[in-house]
Amino acid sequence: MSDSWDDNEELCGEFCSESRDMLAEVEPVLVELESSAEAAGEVDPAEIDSIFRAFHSMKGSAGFLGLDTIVSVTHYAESLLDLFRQDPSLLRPQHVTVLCRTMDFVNLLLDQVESDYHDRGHEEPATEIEGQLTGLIETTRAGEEPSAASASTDAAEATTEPVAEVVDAAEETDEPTVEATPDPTPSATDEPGPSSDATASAEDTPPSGGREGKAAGGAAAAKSSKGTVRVDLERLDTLMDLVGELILAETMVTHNPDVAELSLPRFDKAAVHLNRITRSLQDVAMSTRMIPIGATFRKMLRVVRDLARKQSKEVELELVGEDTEIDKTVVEAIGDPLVHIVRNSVDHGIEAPRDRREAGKAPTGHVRLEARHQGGEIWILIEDDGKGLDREVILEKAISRGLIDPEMAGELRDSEIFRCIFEAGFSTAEQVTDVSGRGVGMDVVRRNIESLGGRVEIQSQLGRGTSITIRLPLTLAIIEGMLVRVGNLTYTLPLLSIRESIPIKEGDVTTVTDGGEMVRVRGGLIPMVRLHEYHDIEPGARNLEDGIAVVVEDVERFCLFVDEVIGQRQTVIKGLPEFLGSVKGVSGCSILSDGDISLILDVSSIESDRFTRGARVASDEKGPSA
Amino acid sequence: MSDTDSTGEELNHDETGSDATAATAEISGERHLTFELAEQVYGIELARVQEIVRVQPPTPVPDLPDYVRGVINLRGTVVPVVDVRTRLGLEQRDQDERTCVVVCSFRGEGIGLIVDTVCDVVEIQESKVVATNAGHTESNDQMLRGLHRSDEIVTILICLDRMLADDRDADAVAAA
Repeated sequence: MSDSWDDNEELCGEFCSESRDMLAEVEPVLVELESSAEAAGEVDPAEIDSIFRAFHSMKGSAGFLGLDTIVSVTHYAESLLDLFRQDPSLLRPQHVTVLCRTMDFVNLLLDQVESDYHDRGHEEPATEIEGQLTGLIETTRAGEEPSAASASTDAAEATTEPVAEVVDAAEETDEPTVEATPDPTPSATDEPGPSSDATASAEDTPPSGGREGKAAGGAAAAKSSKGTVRVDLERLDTLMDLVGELILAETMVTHNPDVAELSLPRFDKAAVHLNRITRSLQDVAMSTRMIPIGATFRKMLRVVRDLARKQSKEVELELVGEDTEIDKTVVEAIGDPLVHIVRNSVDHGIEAPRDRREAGKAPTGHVRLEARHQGGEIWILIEDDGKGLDREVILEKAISRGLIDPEMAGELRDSEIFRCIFEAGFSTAEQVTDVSGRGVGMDVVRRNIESLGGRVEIQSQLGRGTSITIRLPLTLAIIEGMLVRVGNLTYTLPLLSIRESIPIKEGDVTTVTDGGEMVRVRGGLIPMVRLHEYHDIEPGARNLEDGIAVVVEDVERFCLFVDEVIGQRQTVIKGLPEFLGSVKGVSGCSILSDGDISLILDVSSIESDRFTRGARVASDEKGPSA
Repeated sequence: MSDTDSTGEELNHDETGSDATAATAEISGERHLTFELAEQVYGIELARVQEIVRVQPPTPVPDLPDYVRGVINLRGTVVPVVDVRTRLGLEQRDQDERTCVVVCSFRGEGIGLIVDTVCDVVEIQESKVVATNAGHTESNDQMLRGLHRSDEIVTILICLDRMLADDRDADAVAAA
């Protein structure tokens, strides 16, 4: 085996990604199995089968690749699962716990296999997990001996001579591989007959091989009928880039000044046709990157389960909108922040059953995870019915950390105060647990989400629960924008943040004590930022009558004073070159149809700059210049 | 072409008289692209040059050092442009039809350098490179690698990495 190590590298990579997919698929099934076992005392044998098959396939492939630790660990897991295939009612929470731990361990090994192409060096934890599995196998078998009589001999074999079998599995190179490739597509490279039936011939699987083979065959058929192809993400990115460029190029041609003034009916017709094709191409290219968020959501089942068990809380996780499709990169990037928020909900939000009863709530806490499309954005909501955030506690902490000026505290809205929990090092947990309370995390959560062009909002009612909303752009590549001009600069404002644009007069503006300006709009006062002052550029319109105020809203509503509003455009987002570092109030840039570059304004950061400016007090800053 | 001394004059804004041998870095017999700034020839390693394009009015970007003139659209890629005159503390002048943008690679990105005009590609022999011994300002010392003289033409070699490195970075390094 070791002489063909180079070929193995590719196989190892395939094995890892397949195994990860399998584990990711199986984990939520396992967690659901447990809850259904607890609730109804019934377990669907088909689901146990699917978990069993996942471990079995991994064992086979791992054996072929000489990954002995994985082989041996998955072997024990398989043996344990086999008992439940005989009698599903044997499944207990502690089994699930150990199986989950086994999956984590295998994932850990897979990480190493991916980089180093071997799984050595983890003998100690492997032995520990195997010990736990063996223990469970024995107790389970002992406890239910009579009902599992027919299967016990096979199971006994499996447990008494596991080492020998492991070696066998590792040495029987060809056979296990073929039988262990349930997904026919990727392994087609160098293995003959990959579509040959999946698991029917399992050499160490007990008698129910027929039933299992059938099920596996069905699964394989279902998979191939979908006809999916794995594609390198980089290629998809390139495709997206090129499509973006194509749209730009198309606009450059069809809106070319050279042809704009001519009357060219045939050209226009062709241009419309071209436009239609490029738009559909863009939709298709975009959809190739979209995947449902369900898999990420289902990972949370495990997170909630583990944490609830550890803290003896009763928590029910409700998933809504699992089919919502999101850009793959966004899905990947959202995973960790989501884990964090969900953990926080369970750890800090949901109270212990007794406290809940005392508060007059149902003993089982409820966490709701929802994804939905909302006005061109993706919203992910995490709601719990726990104890909520305590405005006073957070305020006190924020003041002691210097995040909030005590004198301003009275005027602040709840949302402004709650926003502090996303600051670095901010934690109100009285007691640090191993899960949360260290104040590391929520700031990272916010940063991760902001780096995706999204934002987090938080609402809470003391005693009633907390609701966190993550708002993300549908795609990272294209933005629907409104072009505004200031002097000789053209800015792009994300259309989503614009509420209206209104002409204003000198008389509408009041200067407040911190030097900021407020403008009267239909009786109400909203703050105003003059974009040319903010970015220190020469404006075309100094007099308010000559320009226009664009009302924008992120968390708060305020308006930006600009020379003029040019119009709406769909533009391809480009990052600012690294060389420039970060530019205040700018999130990126886009290329306009005439080839000019426009800076994309980041409304939320302008807003927070406005706040800090207010806090600094503008004694050295001039008032309104007009 | 001006000689060494007058070059020293031009670059000399602050008579610190520091020794610049440290900046003479290892220069191999590599090919260099030479360009002109205020009648003085400068050189950068050709290997770092991606392309030379006609100057196009850059889109200004607020909140940046004065020598970064903004960004240009180079066939769909957004490229920042640096005014080398400003960066080296030379006098400003209007762009004319000979003004070029030399696009160089820096930390994996293309950066455009605005120069008066591009001259030639020359072989620079390490043995002929001498330290920029005139008393330049300290920041200039950092950006220049040395002088090269051949056929009465004095070429000042620029260290791209130091010239393009953000002063704030340098300060951070110095502070550390």
